[in-house]
Amino acid sequence: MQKIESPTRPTAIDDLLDPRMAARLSQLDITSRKMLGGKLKGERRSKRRGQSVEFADHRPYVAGDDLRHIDWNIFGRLDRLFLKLFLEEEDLSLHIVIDASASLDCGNPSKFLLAQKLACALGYIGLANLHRVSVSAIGGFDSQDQPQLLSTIRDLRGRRRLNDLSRFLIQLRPGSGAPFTEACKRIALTRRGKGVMLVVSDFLIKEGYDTGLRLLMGGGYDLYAVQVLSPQELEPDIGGDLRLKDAEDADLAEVTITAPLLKKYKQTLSAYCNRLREFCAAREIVLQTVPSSTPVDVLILDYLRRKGMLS
Amino acid sequence: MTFLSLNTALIAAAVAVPTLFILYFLKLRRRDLEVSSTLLWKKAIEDLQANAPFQKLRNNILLILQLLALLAGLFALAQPVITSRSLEGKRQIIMIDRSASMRSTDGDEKDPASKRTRLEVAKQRALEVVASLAEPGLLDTEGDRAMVIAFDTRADIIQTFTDSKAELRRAIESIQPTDNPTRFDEAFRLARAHLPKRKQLEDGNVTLHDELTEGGVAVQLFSDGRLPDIDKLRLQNDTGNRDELTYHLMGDPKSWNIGIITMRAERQYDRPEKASVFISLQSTSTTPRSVDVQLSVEGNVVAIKNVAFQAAKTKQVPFVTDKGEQLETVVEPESRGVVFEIERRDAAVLVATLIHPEPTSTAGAGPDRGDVLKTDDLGYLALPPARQLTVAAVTDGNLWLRIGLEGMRLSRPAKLIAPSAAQVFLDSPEAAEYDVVILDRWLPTITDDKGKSVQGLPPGRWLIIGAAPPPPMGLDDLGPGKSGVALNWKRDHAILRGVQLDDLTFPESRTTEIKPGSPMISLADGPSGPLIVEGSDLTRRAVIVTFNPLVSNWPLKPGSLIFLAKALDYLARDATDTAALSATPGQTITQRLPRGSSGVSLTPPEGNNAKVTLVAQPSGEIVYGPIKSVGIYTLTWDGQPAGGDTVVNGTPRRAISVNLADPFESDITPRSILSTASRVVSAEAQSESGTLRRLWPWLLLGMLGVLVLEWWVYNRKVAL
Repeated sequence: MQKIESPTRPTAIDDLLDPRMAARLSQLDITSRKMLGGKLKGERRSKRRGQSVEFADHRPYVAGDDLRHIDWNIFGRLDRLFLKLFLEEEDLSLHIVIDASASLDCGNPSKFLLAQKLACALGYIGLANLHRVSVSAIGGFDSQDQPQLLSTIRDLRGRRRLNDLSRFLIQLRPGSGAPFTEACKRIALTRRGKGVMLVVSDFLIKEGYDTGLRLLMGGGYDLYAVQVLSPQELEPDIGGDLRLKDAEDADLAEVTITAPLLKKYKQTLSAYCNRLREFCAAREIVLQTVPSSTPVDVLILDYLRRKGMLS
Repeated sequence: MTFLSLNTALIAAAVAVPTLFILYFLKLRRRDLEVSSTLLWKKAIEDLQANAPFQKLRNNILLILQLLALLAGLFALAQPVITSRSLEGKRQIIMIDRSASMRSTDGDEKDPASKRTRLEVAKQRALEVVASLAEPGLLDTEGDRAMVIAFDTRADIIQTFTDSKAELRRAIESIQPTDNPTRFDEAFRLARAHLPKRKQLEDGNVTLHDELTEGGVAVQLFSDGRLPDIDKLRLQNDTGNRDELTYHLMGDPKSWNIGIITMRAERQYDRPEKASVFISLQSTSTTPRSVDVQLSVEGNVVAIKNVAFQAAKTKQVPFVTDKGEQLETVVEPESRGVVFEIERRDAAVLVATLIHPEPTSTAGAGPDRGDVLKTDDLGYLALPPARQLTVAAVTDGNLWLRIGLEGMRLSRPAKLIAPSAAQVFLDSPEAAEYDVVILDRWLPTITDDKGKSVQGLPPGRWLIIGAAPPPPMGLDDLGPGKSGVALNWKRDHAILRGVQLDDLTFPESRTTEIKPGSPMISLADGPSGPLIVEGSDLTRRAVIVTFNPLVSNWPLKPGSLIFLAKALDYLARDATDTAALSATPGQTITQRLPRGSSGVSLTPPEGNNAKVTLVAQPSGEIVYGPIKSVGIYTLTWDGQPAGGDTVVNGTPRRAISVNLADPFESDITPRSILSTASRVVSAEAQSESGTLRRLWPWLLLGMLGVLVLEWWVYNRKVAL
């Protein structure tokens, strides 16, 4: 929960993605419950019939069809013209949204580091599978140390772009607070295509996460959410008379840590998480709440796979 | 309840209590902690406060406990003490009577079986008063200061003003009983003299005033009220403020005492080996009693006589005291006398002992304590040996004197010395053999302080006729005086008893004058000044007839011979009378040993262990005192014995008897009311003497307990 004075920051791609893990991730692909159309032919099977090697169906020939697709074997047997239909393989948009507000920069291990690693690993999976990978960071500071609403890297495709992805993730500097809803609105307006969107945040958002998530939900995207909480947020290890300062808006709360208060805090946290879960469930958003101490491979290979995001 | 450091505590409270509140409400001790979000915490607090209406109170429990602990601490800082009686004076004078009557074994009034003396109980109650004195505060206040004076005939400051209770206790415990009578006025004046003085400028003159102009002196008197001079006491200081006299009465009004109040012996004039021993007894018992008086001579019991006393009368005397009118029962002691006849030529020590029958319990009156004062149950007397006067006379032939001396019973005929040989005789050791030397119209010379030879009297007993030695042991001779007759004389004086001076006429006399402060007193006065004077100092005793009898009609009168005999007898009394060999406690023993005596030691009644060595003056005078206990004091020395001394193993020895011999002191009935010159004071009830209890240790303990409770509550609240 507490803000760490000098948190661990990744400096190289290896800090974000272990090569051995990368090897294991290569076998995975992003799945979407929707068969979404992409702009480029990708490695992803589309509902759309197209040109690929995988046979899908036949249909009667009509004037104007490409003669190359006529199934001559059937014509020989039945003396009727049928066209051979193949499944079209399309590309998929994978949009990862990281909350880079100051609240993510707390906890030990850092929540933001887990978010970075998760984004890198999922991005790698997307790139390896020739999806269009975009990453957006809500909040944080730009290179001039100015707070920013949103920073985005778009339309990365192919493994070669992994360096660009990791560089973007490494240069992210969490801090300040940004209006979540406003940022989500901008993401929703600027995203292209259809695909899968993953939001990584702690969802401890004072203005509320509802509107923001609702905005991200539409537009043909499968929405996944990972809520990262630090172990200190789950089990506070503080005591005494404290003046708690909010890392984002410097709001103060004077508390005397007592057993009933801790109990109440846990109840409140639990209720908060439940409400988020219910919100997500009602809107077919897949939510996974994890502590920041969760190893990223466990998170990907176990939790997200089980949730159907990966296959 | 009183507070020793109230001001300090109030100041501390004025600072500490608001500080605690400020600290509590400003919550200065909160630690800053940056967290990811206060969202959940705020919700939790809101929920908690909404769910627990007593949450505020629960939060404040720590404040309440801290406040409680702080208040206990502040209260302790004020050093509260509880006394059952408040001592108003900041300076207390504790005066403890240690006189003979305080040896009475009825100190514990409620417990007749207890044999504690009045002095022991007085000391105990004085210690209680000391315990109840305010102690000095830790920071700002002074404690009560007290001094301790023990008194009998004389007053001793056992402890000057101090606020150290340990020193006061030590001083009180060191007080020992004496056999002395009581004098209170001197002790009280001594106490006041030691009060701190304050300088005050009045009309340009610096005057000293007692420091306690507001409250006067606060005296705590522990006594049985047997204070003969209490009526002289003025309880008022120089600024007119009343002194506080708190009187703690010791003794049981029901107790009684039978004691010897006088004991003396007289040898018969014509048969000096026969002596009559007169013993006076006094009883304060309100029931008839009898007592056996046993007389022993040199340790051998020679006679026992029974003396029966009627019941002593009592009377109720009303007094108007500070507490209203009170009646006091005053016992009028019964006196009896008993006479023993003994036959003994040598010197002897006589001891009279009172033997009481076994005390019996009288119905309804509780157990009888018996005679509570033992000091006066024994009477001592040093009887000088049977002997008659030796007289020498320096005269050039005085018929009247010669006939007078021849007619007297002397141990040997008077030695007559011519004036020309007189100075040689007086300077020789032979002069010491004579009890009295008569100087007829002749005066010896002595060496004064400056080494000059002047007329004067050397040590000895002198009857001087027709001459006046210069002061101090004499008079101023201012030249020839008028002729005339004796104008007045002291008819009741031992010398002039039975001497008629009515028809004395003298044609010439000397004009004489007694200097103020002189030890001489006039026995008979003529027109030009004293005719007959007598006086004594430590070493000399003299009777002086200033006119020349030979040129008057006095030798023709029989009174002149009576005067001669009485004067010689009076002068030699300390050599032949038992009175010279007796003293009372509180006095000093003054004896004259033969010249050249050395190695003088005095053995008190306590025995050889208490033996003291005395140094005799060149004149042979020894002084010892004050005497503290009754009994026989024995003087021994190396040298010649004097006329009445015995010689044991070649060492001269003289016994001096010391008896209480004080009817007032033997009357041990305690007086609950003291009638001083300025007001009447009644005794405090015994229960009013309380002890001081310090509360601050308990408060500190309570504070510790509250702090422990607060720590426990705090830990319980923050237990994770």
